[in-house]
Amino acid sequence: MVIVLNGMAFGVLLLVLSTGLALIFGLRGVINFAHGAIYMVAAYIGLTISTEANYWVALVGVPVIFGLIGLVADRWGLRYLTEREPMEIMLLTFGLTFVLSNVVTKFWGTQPRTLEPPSVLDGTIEIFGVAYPTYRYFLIAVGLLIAAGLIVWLRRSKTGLQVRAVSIDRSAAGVVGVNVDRVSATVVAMGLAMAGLAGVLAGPYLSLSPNMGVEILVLTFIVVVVGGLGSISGPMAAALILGMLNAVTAVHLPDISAYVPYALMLGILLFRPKGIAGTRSL
Amino acid sequence: MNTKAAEKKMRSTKSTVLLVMACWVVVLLAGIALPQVVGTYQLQLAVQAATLGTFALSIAWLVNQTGMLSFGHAAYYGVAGYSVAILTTETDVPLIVVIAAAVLISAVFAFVVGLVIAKSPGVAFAMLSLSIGMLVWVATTKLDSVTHGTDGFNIVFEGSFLGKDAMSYINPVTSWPVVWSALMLVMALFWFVNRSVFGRRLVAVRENEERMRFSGYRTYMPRVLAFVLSAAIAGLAGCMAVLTSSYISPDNLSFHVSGLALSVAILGGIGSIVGPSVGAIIFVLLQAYLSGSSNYEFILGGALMVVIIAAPGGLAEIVKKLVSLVMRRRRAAHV
Repeated sequence: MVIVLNGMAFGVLLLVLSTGLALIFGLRGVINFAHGAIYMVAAYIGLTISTEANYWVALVGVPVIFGLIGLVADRWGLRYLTEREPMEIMLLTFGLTFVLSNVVTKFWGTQPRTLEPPSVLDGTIEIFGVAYPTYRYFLIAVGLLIAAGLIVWLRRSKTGLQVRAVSIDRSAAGVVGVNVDRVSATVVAMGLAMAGLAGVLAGPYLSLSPNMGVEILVLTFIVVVVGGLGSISGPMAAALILGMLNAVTAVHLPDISAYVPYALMLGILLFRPKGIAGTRSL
Repeated sequence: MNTKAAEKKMRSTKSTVLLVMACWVVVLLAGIALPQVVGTYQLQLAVQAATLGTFALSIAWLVNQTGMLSFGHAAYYGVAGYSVAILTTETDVPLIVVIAAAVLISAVFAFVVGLVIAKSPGVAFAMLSLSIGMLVWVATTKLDSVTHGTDGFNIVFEGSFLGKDAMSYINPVTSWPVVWSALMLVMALFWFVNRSVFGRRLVAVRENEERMRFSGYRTYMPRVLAFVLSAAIAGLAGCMAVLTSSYISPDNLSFHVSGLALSVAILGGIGSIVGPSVGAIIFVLLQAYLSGSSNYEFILGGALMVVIIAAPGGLAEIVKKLVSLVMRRRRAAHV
């Protein structure tokens, strides 16, 4: 039971992060290498806001801030670089990684920090005789809500339809009257807001350190590859699977648990190169 | 093209080759004479820059020639470094054999990895190379019995290497000629590979893989082999780093090392053979100059972003543009 919950908690965190990554990839064909660094900065900003004000302000405020940053970055930045090679944009985000990690060590130091959950979520809840931290229940609930909301938004709303259309064929979508620039801006903002949310959610769950970005970035990459490039539900499923595997092996096979994500990735590459639900082959 | 024009073109390519070779010899000799001009500290920096330059060149060549962008090249750099460390500690084979073996081990490892990941183009390759790099890093931190974990390896070299005491390569005065020659040889190697049929074919695959396949060429194996060549050079750079510091730890394999070399290559110019080394020199000087401050990551990342937006060809492109501008001005003045 505890293992399953642990797996869910970590899986949900990966889910929120990798969905943001996959959304931006679907739309711009670019993998955001700074996604991990943005998540890290969000966690640290969340730390500062929740010590100055409280955790709830951080939980709402940070995603909003990052969403706005995403809007601005797309409107006055990425839009002018659409004709560039995807590779160059990737390198650009990669440069941003260095800048952000320097910013974090500059303002918050290199010592690991912890973000205290609000008192309502501190403590444990007992279900079926198993005590489990309240905060992790909260994390799982929020993450699953976000995932469900996103799927409904993509499947049911008009903007969601446009997002899917632009992901499939950018120029054709433009021809039939979709405002491609606006859809792009919306999606980049969403992606960054989700990275921001993941950062704040991770704060009380994992410890904050200048390495947290790179560590989770690799896992989100694995999730996106395993789930399938160009899909949203694939990475969602892959995130939960990876979280589960992580929790199970951490208890039963601690020696090899660090290798499990990589083994999963290689297995997928060898036997199903498109990933679980990928539309484009790798 | 008529025969005369073809003949003229032949002659001009031949003269280019001769000119480049002459320049190469001059630069090589000038470099070897460097210790006469600068002090030990500057020489130490030069050794660092040459090692980093070799490493950066291996990454730059791969992306320029094949379009495969590796974010995890430190794996091959580190595998060779650890091979040197383990082989010198466990056996008493001469160091030169150890280094050859280490480069070979790196190449074989890269071959296995390449078989799996070279299928994937562009974005997927970049992500996969990063994951493999992290995998190797995780393995070196976990396999305490082989790698001494995070403590790293202090290596005691015995015997002699290229006529000098192997341990004396810690001293930059001894190591500089070797490191510098290695860098120059690697540059020459890549220059010739780029002009070879193999090099041309790689570019053709990069430009349009499907067209090459339909024209009846293999596209998968050449990519794997290019990856192996690049990894072997990265391994050579790793050996140079271990030889000149006699120490290796998982830090040498981390994401930051791959990222640093890649950034340096972009700053200097991925499309040129000299570019990555220029980038490496600038970075090493910058780091030495800013030794008191911790902002060099910020500056490096910022410079990287500016270069990518403003001059994707890096410093090499900027210089080239300036030179052609000046030439045009001159020609205009003559007329």
